[in-house]
Amino acid sequence: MNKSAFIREFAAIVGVAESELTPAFVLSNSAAWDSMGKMAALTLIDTDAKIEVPFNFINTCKTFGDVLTLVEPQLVGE
Amino acid sequence: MSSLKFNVELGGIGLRPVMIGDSHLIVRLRNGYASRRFLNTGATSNRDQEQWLQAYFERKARGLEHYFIIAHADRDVGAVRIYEIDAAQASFKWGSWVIESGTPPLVAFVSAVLVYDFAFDVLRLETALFEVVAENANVIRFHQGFGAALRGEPDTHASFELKKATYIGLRSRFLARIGLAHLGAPSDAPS
Repeated sequence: MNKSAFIREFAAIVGVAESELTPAFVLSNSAAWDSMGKMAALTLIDTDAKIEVPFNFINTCKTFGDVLTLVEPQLVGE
Repeated sequence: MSSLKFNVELGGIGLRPVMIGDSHLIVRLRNGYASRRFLNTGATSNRDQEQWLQAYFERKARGLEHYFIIAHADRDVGAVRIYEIDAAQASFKWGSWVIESGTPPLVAFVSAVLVYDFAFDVLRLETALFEVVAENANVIRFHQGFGAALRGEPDTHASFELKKATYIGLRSRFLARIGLAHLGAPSDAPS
């Protein structure tokens, strides 16, 4: 999965436009960032993008930048 | 908190049977659920919920349904239901799945494992058939990641199917993923 696709899918999970999903975006500002939203994000990372992260990783992320820090190096292309 | 015995439990997260005294809790969980728009219209008062539960207990006695409170670290944090159990088809549906805001995502994940453990291992059913509101994209993604297959094209709802054999094949990977692989098979003491 490339970075563009990851951002598009992640934006859908947190219910914002892609343009709003900057590294500074605070995840808890999204009403969709509940248990299911976090599980969907883990599924996106683990199953769709095939990037292995610690299960509790998503719970430690405060911003989208925190997510990208771990995920971006393993995304293929832009 | 409750000291009621769990039907199934894994890593400190368990499903315990709903009791009539849980009416207030269920109303609070459903009405406080951020995604409640995806739930069927339910009771908004304690009295209505109690009446609903009385009818549920009759269905449970006939083997048609099981309603659970999800507990984590001695706190009641959610609810989930197995329903429309079809003994002839060995199938079931599940849903009414609500988890309190702020609960770690691990609880959501393990509660799904426990639903399947109870249905496939304790009730000896073979197929999960369930629907999710089509707009509830996050839950749909979760179920797909859990191995459930979409049946047909979604319209207002996405219909899923998960066979026991598929689940059994994935379960050990799920548990390893969350560091619980060493716990093996669930405790199974149906009420």
